[in-house]
Amino acid sequence: MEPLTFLVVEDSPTMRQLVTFALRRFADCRILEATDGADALRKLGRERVDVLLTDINMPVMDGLKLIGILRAQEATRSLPIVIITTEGAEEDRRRGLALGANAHVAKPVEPSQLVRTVAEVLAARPEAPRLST
Amino acid sequence: MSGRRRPPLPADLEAVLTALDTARAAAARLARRSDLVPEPGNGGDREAVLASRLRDLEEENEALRRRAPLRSATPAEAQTDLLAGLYVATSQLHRTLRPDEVVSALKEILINLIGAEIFQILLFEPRRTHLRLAANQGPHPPPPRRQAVSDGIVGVVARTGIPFFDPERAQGDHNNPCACVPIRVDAQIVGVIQVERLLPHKGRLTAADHELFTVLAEHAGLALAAAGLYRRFLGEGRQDGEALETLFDPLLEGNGGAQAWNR
Repeated sequence: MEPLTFLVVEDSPTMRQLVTFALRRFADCRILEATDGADALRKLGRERVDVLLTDINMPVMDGLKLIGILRAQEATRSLPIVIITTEGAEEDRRRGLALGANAHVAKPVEPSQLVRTVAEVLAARPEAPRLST
Repeated sequence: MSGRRRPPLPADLEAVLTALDTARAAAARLARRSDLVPEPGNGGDREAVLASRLRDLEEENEALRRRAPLRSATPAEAQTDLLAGLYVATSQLHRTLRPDEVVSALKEILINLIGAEIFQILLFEPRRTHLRLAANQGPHPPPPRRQAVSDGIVGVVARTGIPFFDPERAQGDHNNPCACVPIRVDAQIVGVIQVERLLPHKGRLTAADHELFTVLAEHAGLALAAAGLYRRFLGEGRQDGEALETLFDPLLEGNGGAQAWNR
């Protein structure tokens, strides 16, 4: 069975490392990183991804634009997406979910909370998440 | 539930699904009760009541399901979260010797790991009578660039080295911060980090945040000191690589360093 593949889209190195660290809780997972929406699209063109986690405010291409593009394409229409927002940015959260994101996690991110949210998103798919013990 | 075998899920999701099953069973019991059994000639109304109650239950369970991810972390999860924060903070602070990158990493950590929204990083001036603003985050107007160590909570923390955490407030101001911790290098206090306001949903700083914040400030001191030394070496006209080699020179055997430390 192929490992779960996550794509973390974040311009902040600190957040990328924290999210990546948290996602390692999933057994046999592969974690890809992108620094903005355009970088994410390039990686999605080359790699199979099971869940995409994205920040909203990023240079070059922000998270909302990225979600809009992904939901407009057949191949990524049902790709599970988790948005990571600053809690004050309620409008970002609302727009992200309206554009088709599946779930949302607020900064500062608690790794255990992030893992629960991703597990929940994965549980909604036919394939179940495999958490390491 | 169907007979289809369900793959394993995390414990909290299992709990939610169990609650959902329980609620569905309760709905079924309700449906069987005699007062809800359709009466002759009135079946349509009864069915509407049943359908409405089932909808209510489903909505209630959906609300429960949505609330589930917001439950507090277990003690083990909280400990793991703290360790993750410490790991990321120290790793990011020590990944570079460039002062601007160290300060940038420190600011990112304060925002993303601590949940600080408005804060200042202040360092002692050489005569140690004043603290000077090294970096800050937050809306205008900017805070004072210089502050006497005799003044306010910042001054007390800078003089005593005792961290300050307001147990209740998540929003303060420059004179009444919600947190203030000393930045140290070894035993010497070299500055303070003052947080005026936390991000809105942060609420307040937890005991784990205090621990993370305190360790962060200690590592920030070392990272800033190393960055300051590196800048000084670069300022003496050395190129990047040469400056790095010069930093290591005193540690090399034959130069007196290693032999002395190996005793």
